[in-house]
Amino acid sequence: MGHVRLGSLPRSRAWKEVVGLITAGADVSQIANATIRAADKAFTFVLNDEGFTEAVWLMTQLAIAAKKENLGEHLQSLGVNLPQDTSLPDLAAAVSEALDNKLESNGGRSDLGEMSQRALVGALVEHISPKLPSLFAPGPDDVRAALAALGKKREFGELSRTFFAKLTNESMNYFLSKTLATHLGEGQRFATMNEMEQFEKALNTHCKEASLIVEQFSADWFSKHRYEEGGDISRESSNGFASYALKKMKDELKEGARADAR
Amino acid sequence: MQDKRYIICGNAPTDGIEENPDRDLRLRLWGKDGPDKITLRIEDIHKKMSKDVPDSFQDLLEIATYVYSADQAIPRGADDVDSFGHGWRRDLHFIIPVRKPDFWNGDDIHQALRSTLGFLSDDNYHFEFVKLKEAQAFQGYLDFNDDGRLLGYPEQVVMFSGGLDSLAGAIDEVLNEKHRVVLVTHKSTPKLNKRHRRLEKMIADKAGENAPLHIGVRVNKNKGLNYEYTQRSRSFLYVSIGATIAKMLNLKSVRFYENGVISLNLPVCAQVVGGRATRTTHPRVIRGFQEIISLVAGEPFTIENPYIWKTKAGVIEVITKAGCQDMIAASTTCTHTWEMTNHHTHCGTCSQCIDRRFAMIAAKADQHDPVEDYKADIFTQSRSKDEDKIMAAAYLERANQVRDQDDITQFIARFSEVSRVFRYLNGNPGSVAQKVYDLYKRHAKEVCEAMDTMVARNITAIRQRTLPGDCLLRTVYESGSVISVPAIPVEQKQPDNYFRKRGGVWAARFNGNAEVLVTGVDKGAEYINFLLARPNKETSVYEIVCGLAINTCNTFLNSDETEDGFQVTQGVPLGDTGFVADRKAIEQYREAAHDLLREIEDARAENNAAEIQRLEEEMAKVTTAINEAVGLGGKLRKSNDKRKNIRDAFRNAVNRAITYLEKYDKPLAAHLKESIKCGNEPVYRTEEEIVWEVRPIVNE
Repeated sequence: MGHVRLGSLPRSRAWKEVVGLITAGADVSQIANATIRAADKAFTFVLNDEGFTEAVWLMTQLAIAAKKENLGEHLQSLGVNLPQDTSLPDLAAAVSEALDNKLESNGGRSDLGEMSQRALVGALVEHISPKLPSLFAPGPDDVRAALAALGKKREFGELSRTFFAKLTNESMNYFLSKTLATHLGEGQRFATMNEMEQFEKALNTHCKEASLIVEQFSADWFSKHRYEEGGDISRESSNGFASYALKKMKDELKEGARADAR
Repeated sequence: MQDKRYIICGNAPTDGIEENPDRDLRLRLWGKDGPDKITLRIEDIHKKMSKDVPDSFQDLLEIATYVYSADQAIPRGADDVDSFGHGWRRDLHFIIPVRKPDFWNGDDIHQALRSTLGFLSDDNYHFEFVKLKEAQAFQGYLDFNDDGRLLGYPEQVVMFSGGLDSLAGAIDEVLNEKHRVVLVTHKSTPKLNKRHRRLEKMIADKAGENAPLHIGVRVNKNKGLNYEYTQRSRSFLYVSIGATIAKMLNLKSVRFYENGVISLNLPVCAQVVGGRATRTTHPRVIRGFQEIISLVAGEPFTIENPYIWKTKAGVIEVITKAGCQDMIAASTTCTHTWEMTNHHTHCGTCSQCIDRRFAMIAAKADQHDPVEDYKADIFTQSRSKDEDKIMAAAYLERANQVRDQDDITQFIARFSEVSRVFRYLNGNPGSVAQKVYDLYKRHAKEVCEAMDTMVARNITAIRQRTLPGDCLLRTVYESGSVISVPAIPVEQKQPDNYFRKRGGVWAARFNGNAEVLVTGVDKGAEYINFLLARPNKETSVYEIVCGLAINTCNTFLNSDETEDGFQVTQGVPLGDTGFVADRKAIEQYREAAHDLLREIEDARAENNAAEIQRLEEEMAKVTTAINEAVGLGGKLRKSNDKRKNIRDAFRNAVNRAITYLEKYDKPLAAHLKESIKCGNEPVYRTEEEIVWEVRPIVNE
């Protein structure tokens, strides 16, 4: 009952170039660049993707909640229901559920939305776990204390960078996983699985490097808007941030990650 | 998401709907045969069981049949990345006549249906329930096959697909636990009937007096209603039938047996998002089914998956420990049923076949699962289809990734999809997370051990390279062998500036930046390479173009064809072939035209039609000749200026290559734009000297 449906890349000129570069052994930065260009249509298509904007909205609201008197109540108003003795898996499940419920009610499911959800949950777990004394049996306020730290400008910048790095890497893999393994085997681009894995790791690193551009921008944006909007951030502002941050990531990947980010 | 599609069921009215027969779908469970007719048959039901089935369960069966049929009849869109899979998800609006519309239009059941089915199939569901005008008898669905007696009352309804997991479940229930059970099988394709019957007989033979009761279910419909093979909503129909049968038996639960790895079905790779990995028995779906059936029953009803914490290898151990190894070969796991033949019962390449092969080897039971039954051997054969290559590599790679993780946090961050199950399994999210992590670690270990076993078995063939170079064993084994090419080449000091051919590909690097591979603009790259090799040296464009053409193609061209090129290399510029016609010739054409005009007038006077036609044809030729020879303002045209063509071709090729480079290395493109001058004598000239490495690299 568990079958999986796989797709393949379209045969347009731009995607053929991506495949040609993979075959020819091009560097990850060039392949990432070509991929982003080939995927331009897709990114234009989903400029207002509800799954993506909802994930960014939730990310900003988690940070806003951190400065509210009652963090739990604010989260609840966003559909994030946390029990008193919240653990990290609880937080991950609650954020997933909040996004699922939101998109379920407005029919907004999409591939980018799915990837955004994965990216947000993954980024939160990665960001918060080092701040916890224990993953499963934190004290009653440990997760909440870790969440409260998100209200700091620098913390939001870091979380945002991790989110966009993960989302970009997911997106790259979303496209490239439709072709990478077809170049596996003796005499091909990837003679072994090890080589393919190294390529994927390099791509991940490349996306992380490219995401540096979002970190400071996110921190500044968050600080400015929270001040200007009286301690809150509107949905409209968040949507603008989502689309501009994604554009910055795309532009950075088109340029190739900067050497000084390494 | 696709545009809204209406599915108008039975005799439901369509008031207020702007019907579009090309887009909307009509389905009927009742009435005369026709293209929109579907039939649901539940076989081998005992008459006593059919009594007292509430209306709401009859409605449930019909709703599930309509949902399942629409799922197959309305195709998903192309799986294109250009729209982030926009076409995959459908917007389905059902209008269904039911016996109890007030119940079905209630908020709770409505929301439960939308939420569960939406998550299950990745589509958007909307339901409008209307009053069924002429209620049909429930018995219409049933095929009675007894004398009206029911021998003993079963204790449990078990969904039996004929795969390994449900087989192990049946063995556990019937042979180990000695329960009296009803096995419910959905007969999705006639190809499986024979295998199901064989398996059922084998279980019955071992069970003796405790032989389980079997109930088969068929949904038949016109071929025109079979477009989409994914059938994500199949388990809803399946569980609705199981629950109805349970209700008939006065039972309050149904059991699915599915191993946890398949049940949770974490995406094997990044392109598998949402419902592209089936969620047939995903814990959230199971919980949703339970909620729906409980609402329909008006009392708590449970849907269980007792194997949620088992891997497939663990499931196989249940079968072997019970001494039922002989049943393994009769079970069917493959999802590509259309590839099934008498000789090959499994395709060997779909996600389920791959999982089965690995699990069999991990459980040391593969001697009971003949490899000949598989159309392709995933370990030792090439796979021609891209999808098959991707699937096998992704499956193995995920196992490698999980194996390498020694921290549950990493696992959740990497496979964050897993957070969707934490609240739908018994226990607090923390302990559930730990169990999921342990399950996947166990599975990864089994996959890696199975791989090691297969490498060991085939080591001679691997060493002797008699196996195909892209088979799974070779690509995995050679990853760790000393002959493997390192994934990241050992860093050698490369020149800061190069523009050269490496193997069959042009590679460029400028100012120590990242290397750019140049594909699709070979000619321009070749010209640039030529110019960079001769800085400040003006060279005739004809020499470059024709000389390179000769170098490249001299084996194909004869001396006549390259004559112009040879002339150039000797310093004689290429010329055109002169004017099409000179002034004198044109004057003669004009005189001829005047003569023809006079002759035409004479012929008209004589009314000689044939002569008129001949003269007019001749006049047309003369006029064409004049037009070809004289341009605007009476200027003479030249026949074909080869020099201009060559100059243009050169410039265009260089510009195309620079435009290509601009995408990946703007400084390089800008430098070339600024430094290369085209025209009759192209040259690469810079203010500051740059040393370019231009020699090709061969036999690297």
